[in-house]
Amino acid sequence: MLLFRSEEHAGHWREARGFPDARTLSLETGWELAKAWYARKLDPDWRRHTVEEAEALFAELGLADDFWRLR
Amino acid sequence: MGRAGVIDTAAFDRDVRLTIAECIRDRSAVPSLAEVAARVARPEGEVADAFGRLAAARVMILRPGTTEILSFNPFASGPTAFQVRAAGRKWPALCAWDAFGVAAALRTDGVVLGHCADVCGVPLEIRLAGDAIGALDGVVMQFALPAREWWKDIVFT
Repeated sequence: MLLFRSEEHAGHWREARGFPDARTLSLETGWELAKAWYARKLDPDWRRHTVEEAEALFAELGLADDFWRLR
Repeated sequence: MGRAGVIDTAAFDRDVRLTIAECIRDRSAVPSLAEVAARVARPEGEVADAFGRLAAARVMILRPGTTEILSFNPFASGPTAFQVRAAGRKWPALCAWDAFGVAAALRTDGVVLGHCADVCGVPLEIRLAGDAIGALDGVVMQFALPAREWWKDIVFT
């Protein structure tokens, strides 16, 4: 997961590197995703999300198409 | 440790995981195998086995071909392409999502430092403060691979 100055720069990178299906996220969505994914990582009772939980988490952020499916 | 020196691997792996987290909180650095072994007072071989199980369970990533931690995601051992300033310290991260994740896991505000991955390579600074984000207009995060492929080559991802 990389940062780009703009959608244009991200698109140029996609074409140059051969990742036509790559997806961009706004920083706001990326921050929400990071909080949902990692907020408990240092906690004693942390556990990995199940596939179902992870897909539900993506969907809550509007990331519900095939790109975000885990199975 | 169970009867006759037999390890309860689930309990031991949890101890190792919590020790890694403790090291990260204490020193803002991912610990070495030797440091974790010293903290849990067990032989390095046993801790290496636990590292292997934790990596297999996708709790963390090992440096290829070694028993040292590359990333207890989102916390990486440096140097890396992304840095985070948070909680008064500097933290390396492997990717943009992990860089955001450092501030999330520490439950604090942070400043992510990176570069545009396109040929321009322009430095980018992103301020995370509560729900607010400060950055140049138009900056985006990009995922190259679909989610189901992330762990096929997690270092690349």
